[in-house]
Amino acid sequence: MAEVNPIIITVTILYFAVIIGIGYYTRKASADPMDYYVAGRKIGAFVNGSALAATYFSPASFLGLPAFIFLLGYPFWWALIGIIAGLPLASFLTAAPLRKYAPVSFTDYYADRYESPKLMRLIAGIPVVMSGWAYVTLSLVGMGLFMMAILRVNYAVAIIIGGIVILFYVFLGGMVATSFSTAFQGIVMTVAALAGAFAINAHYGGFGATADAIFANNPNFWTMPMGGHLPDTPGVYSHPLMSVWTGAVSFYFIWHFGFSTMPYTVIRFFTAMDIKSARRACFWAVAVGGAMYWGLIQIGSAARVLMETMHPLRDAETQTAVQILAKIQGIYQVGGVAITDYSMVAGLESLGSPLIMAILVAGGMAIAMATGAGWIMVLNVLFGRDIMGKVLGNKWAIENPVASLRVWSFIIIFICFLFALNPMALVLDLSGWAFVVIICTTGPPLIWGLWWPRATKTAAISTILVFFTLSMYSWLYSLNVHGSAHWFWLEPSIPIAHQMYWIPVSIVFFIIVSLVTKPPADETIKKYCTDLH
Amino acid sequence: MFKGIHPSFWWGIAIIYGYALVFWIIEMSVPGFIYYTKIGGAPAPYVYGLTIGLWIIPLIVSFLWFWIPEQEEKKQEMQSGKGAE
Repeated sequence: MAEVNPIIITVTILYFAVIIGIGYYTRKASADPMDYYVAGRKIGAFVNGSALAATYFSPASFLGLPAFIFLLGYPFWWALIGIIAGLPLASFLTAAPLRKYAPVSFTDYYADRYESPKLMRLIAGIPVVMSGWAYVTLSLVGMGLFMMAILRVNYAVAIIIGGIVILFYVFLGGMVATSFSTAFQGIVMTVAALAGAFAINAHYGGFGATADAIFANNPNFWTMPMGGHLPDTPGVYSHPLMSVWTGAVSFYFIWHFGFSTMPYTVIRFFTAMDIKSARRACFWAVAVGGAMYWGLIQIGSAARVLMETMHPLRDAETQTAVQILAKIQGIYQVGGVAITDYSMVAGLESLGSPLIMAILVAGGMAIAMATGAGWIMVLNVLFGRDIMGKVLGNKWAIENPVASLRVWSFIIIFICFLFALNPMALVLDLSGWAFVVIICTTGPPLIWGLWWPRATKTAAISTILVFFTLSMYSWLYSLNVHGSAHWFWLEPSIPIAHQMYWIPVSIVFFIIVSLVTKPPADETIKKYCTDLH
Repeated sequence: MFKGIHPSFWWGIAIIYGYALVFWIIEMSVPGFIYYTKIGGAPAPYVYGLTIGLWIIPLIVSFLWFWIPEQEEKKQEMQSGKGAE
């Protein structure tokens, strides 16, 4: 192992000590299945809000979004603004009504609202399993990258350590441990992003000076599509994807609705003390998540100029950021990881501050572990309670609910560990699709089920099956044929982030099918729709 | 559809999307606006995008979206309490 600064090692040990300590002190949760499933519905607004932010924002946020800014320039700022602007929507749309309904599992609502206790659990489970598999794998990969790039730990050792620590606290304390550790991780990741941003601004001498340095290095960073070019270079933009307005606008909306619909955030509303607390948690998620994104935008914006002027790996042959990243990837190469995923770490590494890197490694591990644990709690309840107990009627799973969830936690982490060990590019690519697939499949039946009495079971089943297939096909088609998942599948000259048009199309499809199919019983509508408002 | 959702939901959405739309139109219409328009020495998006759009507006909207229903619920509880007397 190469020499690592003692500050980085100390901060890492402290971080792991706190997480393991939370797991140990919450082990009593295993005595009561409701504590293990939904933390006894005792989580307060601030803890839940911080945990919501940490769960929702994955390594795709911490590494991927600054990398997108590095690649696409200023227009991608609006993508991050769109993500945070989407958080409050959950307050009315799902947080309050779902807390009033008080389910245990993500699929409970689909089973009850659409009057199909077994089939709806299986159908709704399809996109959830695919998305969860991609996200847990991505979280392990993200954790491995951080530990490898900053702590110089062997990649396989890094994901083994990370996987064992996540398993330790999820296994012992279930949702109680996950809630408190994730809330702590929310603070850590926000401090890391803010520390990085403040260090950059301190280095250049303020926001204006940092912006000037970015401009001097790459003036076209500060452009928008259409007439948003610089005065003396019409028709020149930061990136081809951002040369047409659909590019900038679709990136605003692609992740915008996820907070209200993604299983790993929705289940956190089940843990809230009451409806008020569920609504207030959305405010705290904005406070914590918004602060983190404030830092990430600035880190991503300055990553290129930092690397091209200060990175220690620069030499006569390695001058551009892309060349530096290629060199880093050559040193730490991991399967299908994109070269730009290192840009955030490499940018801050250029500052040469061990303290910043120490905080960054803690933040990176925090965000990866929080998302991984959140998804494991979705999947272990889905397999251990819903499928084994409710669908298959397995006696052991029904009589030993906590043990069943623990077994599934182990299985899920082990399978995802095997995929993370040498990740195929496809797995990491699918983590992008894993987001849009949930919003356009289980999203409409959830939100319209809560807010529209006419929503039907046929519409729910057909929307999930049709848009699961269509979104995956179009995503893979664009990626493989057009060279990027961000070009419209039917027309390669139109930029559309992650094929996000499937979201409005699936909503229209769901409404039309609902209007022409048999409505649920009046009693069901009253209990699972109108009474929840 | 969405019958029973609190009215503040709709004006909150109008603020969030209206704000983004106004600045998209300006940014996509005025060459050089993003970098050359300065507020306090920094490009204007540091203020209207990074600070107000990213953080302040969602914070205010998410605050009002729990505060307004809570005040109304308190008022209803007080009125029902008086009615019981």
